[in-house]
Amino acid sequence: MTQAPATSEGRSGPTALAAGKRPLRLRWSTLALAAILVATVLVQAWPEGAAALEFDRRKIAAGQWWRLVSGHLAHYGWPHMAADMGVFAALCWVAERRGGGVAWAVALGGVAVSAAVYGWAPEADAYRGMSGVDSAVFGYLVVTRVGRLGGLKAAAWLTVLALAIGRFVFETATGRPLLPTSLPDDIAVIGIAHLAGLAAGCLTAAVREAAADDGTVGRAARAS
Amino acid sequence: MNASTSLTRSSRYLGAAALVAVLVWSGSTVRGAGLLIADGGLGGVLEIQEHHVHVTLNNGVAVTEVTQVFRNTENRPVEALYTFPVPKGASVADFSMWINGQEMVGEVVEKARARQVYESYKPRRKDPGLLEQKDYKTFEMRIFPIGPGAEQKVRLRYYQELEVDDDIATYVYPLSTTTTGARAATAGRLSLTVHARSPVPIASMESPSHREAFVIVGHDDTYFQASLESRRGDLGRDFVLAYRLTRPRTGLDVIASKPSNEDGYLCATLTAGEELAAKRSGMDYAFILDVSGSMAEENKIGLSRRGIAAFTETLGADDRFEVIAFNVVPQALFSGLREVTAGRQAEAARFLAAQTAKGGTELRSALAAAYRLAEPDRTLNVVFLSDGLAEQGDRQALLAMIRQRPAGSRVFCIGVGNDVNRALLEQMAEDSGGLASFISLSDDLQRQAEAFRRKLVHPAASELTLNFEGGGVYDVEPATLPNLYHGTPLRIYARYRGAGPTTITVRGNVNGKDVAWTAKADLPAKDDANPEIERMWAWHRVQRLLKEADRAGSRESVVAEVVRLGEAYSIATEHTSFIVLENDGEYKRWAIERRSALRLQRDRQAREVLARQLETIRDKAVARRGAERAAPTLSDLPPPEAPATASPQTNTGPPRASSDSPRWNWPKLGGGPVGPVGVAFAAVLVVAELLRRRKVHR
Repeated sequence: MTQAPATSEGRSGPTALAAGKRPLRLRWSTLALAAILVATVLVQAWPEGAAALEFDRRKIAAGQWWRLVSGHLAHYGWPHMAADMGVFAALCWVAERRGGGVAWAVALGGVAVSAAVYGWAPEADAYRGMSGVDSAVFGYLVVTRVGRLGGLKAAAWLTVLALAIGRFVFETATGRPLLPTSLPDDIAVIGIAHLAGLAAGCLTAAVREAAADDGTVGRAARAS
Repeated sequence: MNASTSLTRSSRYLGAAALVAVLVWSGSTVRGAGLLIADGGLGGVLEIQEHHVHVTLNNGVAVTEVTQVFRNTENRPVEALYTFPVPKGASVADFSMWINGQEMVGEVVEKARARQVYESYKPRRKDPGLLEQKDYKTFEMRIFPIGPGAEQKVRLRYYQELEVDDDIATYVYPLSTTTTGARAATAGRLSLTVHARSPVPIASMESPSHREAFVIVGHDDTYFQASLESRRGDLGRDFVLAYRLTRPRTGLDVIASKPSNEDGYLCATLTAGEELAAKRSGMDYAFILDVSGSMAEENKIGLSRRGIAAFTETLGADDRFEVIAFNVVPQALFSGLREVTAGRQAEAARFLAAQTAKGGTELRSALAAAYRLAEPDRTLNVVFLSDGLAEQGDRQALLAMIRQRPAGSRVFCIGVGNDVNRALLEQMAEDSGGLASFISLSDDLQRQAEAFRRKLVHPAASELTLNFEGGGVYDVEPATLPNLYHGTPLRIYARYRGAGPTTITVRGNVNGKDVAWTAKADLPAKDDANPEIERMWAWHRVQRLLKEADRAGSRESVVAEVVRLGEAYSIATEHTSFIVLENDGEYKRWAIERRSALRLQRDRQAREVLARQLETIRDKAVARRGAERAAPTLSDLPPPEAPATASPQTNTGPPRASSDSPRWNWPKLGGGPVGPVGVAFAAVLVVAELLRRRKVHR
């Protein structure tokens, strides 16, 4: 893989495009994220798809362990799916352009969210949605940006992170949404899923950036 | 980049991640801390190891026995403080602790003295326990000390009248509360067993809150049993169980209890039948929705909105209605009563959906706005959906306004959830000749709304009077009989001096016509089968005294009598508490009589007789069905399929949870459940990235 030229941030990045048009190259992570998007739409389009794949505590305990992962692809309707996947696609695109490696945050975030719901939200018999993973991608993006920016820009990102943490802590503690949403009344808020996703994303970015600084992860691998 | 810079950067990243991880951990701790906390020190971690609830529904009375095991997970002794909501109409009659492996029964003493005794033991690290009613909505249980890693078993029992409406009886075990701001779950087993006995055959039983988690068995048509068991059970939601009878139990029934050494007690239950069957129409309704800040808790406002919407859908074409939302000021939808049309119903729904909970509670101005709608020739039903969490000063003025209400107007109060000022809402309804109803957040709101609506459209029997011939009956509770509503039983408690025949007559007025109900009863010289009605009589007397005192503005004159009744009948009230001491010697040292212990013995004998009767019915059912199809009891139930909680359900489908899917009934804003803010933020990031890209290209 070719080393990209350094940017004004002292990192390799999209300025490589300025040197001229590059041939279209689809990386494995881009393909994986696109596959997630397509799979989620298909699950929603399949009438029994969401019920067949959702996080169902009893069925997981009975051996259907794949629901720990597939639950993220299941949603409570098209508006739910559209919002989750719209945010997912947007954050992934930006994160990929600003350093790459977001697939790790998606993978680890998904695991962390499922583990948190299973272990710390025993009242939740069932769980659906990609928003926990969205939180992971968000955390990943913020920590990555903070590590590369300084001064006011870093402070702005940290402020956004603090606001998100505050919201999720509130929702975890009270079981109520802090901001307006639009799902049926019988759906409960599991704030711990967002917190777990956020933590996983931040941790992934921190470890990855630290490893990059130590030279164990090549910069080119992080270039978009 | 040199090594030290790299280390600093790495530390910064890892530090930020660690901070988030700590917050995640603390978030989960908040949830786990729940209603049980270690008090009086620098915190501490306690667990509810086990939580078992055993309920018997018989003679219209629910007896709930709760056994819990607390465990201290710390390496130091801690004081356990367990807070739980006051169940509706509950008379807590027993509080016991296991000390040195032996059950020690608590005794009721005056509240301040109980606290003094409890505090005196704390420095000596003896084993006191205290159960007190903190306020109108909260009980507090304190236990000290629970040693490092030790477990403490406690038991409490309370009596309450079973909620009956027409042919449906509802039992609620309240757990949902915002008292401590967090939920609790058991570390080990949670179980709930309900035995329902009815003289009228039971047609069906179900749990609106935990439909699939309960195993429900009809042993015969007068005895149903429901059982639930799970590990790591959620203690943050109410358990609701409802059963339907094959027909309403109507007429006048009498049961009695007669200890050998004192006067007897009787309970007469009157339920109207055909007398109130006719329907009324052409009435006016003012629906008043409380949108003060306290209504945001537990989604009270969301459920209240749905309640009003459900009501408006049932109105007839010749009814008129108005909707008023209020916090510190009332806001009316139509500025007057309007005939019911589909368009107006939709308009009301939109108006309600636009309301958000904020600000204080000014009940009086809302009621005044409703009373301005009254017209002389029409009945005005003012339906309040509120938690009643208003200032005390407002309360007195409010009750004065109700006393001077326009002719033909009644106030009906509906409280949603457990954090509700029942006393105030009941008083508002009683003083206006209306009714108060309290609905669990986990119950079927539609069913409850329909039941309440039935009371509004059927006439009520008013100006009720009561007469006893024979038996030397005295101290009747309630002293003044309230209106009798369709489907709602009126329970009358009294003392009697002489055994023998008595004739009870209740007279009233329905739509201008006189009606009367009569029953003959043979009051027994001795009867130990129904000791619960003794406590119910005393509890009603205490409640009446307190309500009268609150109307007058001071409780000073009644506190002594309330304390006397509490101590004599072993009832925890706002002025009496249970105290548990280590042994009989300690009770003697404080000159505390063992009255509760004696009463408990008598209660247990009566419960054992009933338990044997129920066991006989179960045995017969087993013989009838054959061993393979035997009705399961709790001990027969298979272990839970997974370490899952008993989950709440609605009538519309299986339980669902999502990190981004609220219980809130917010207006539909068009955003996904991530929320419009999240979507907007992502959009801004994308636009910024595109702009940056264009800039770079240039």
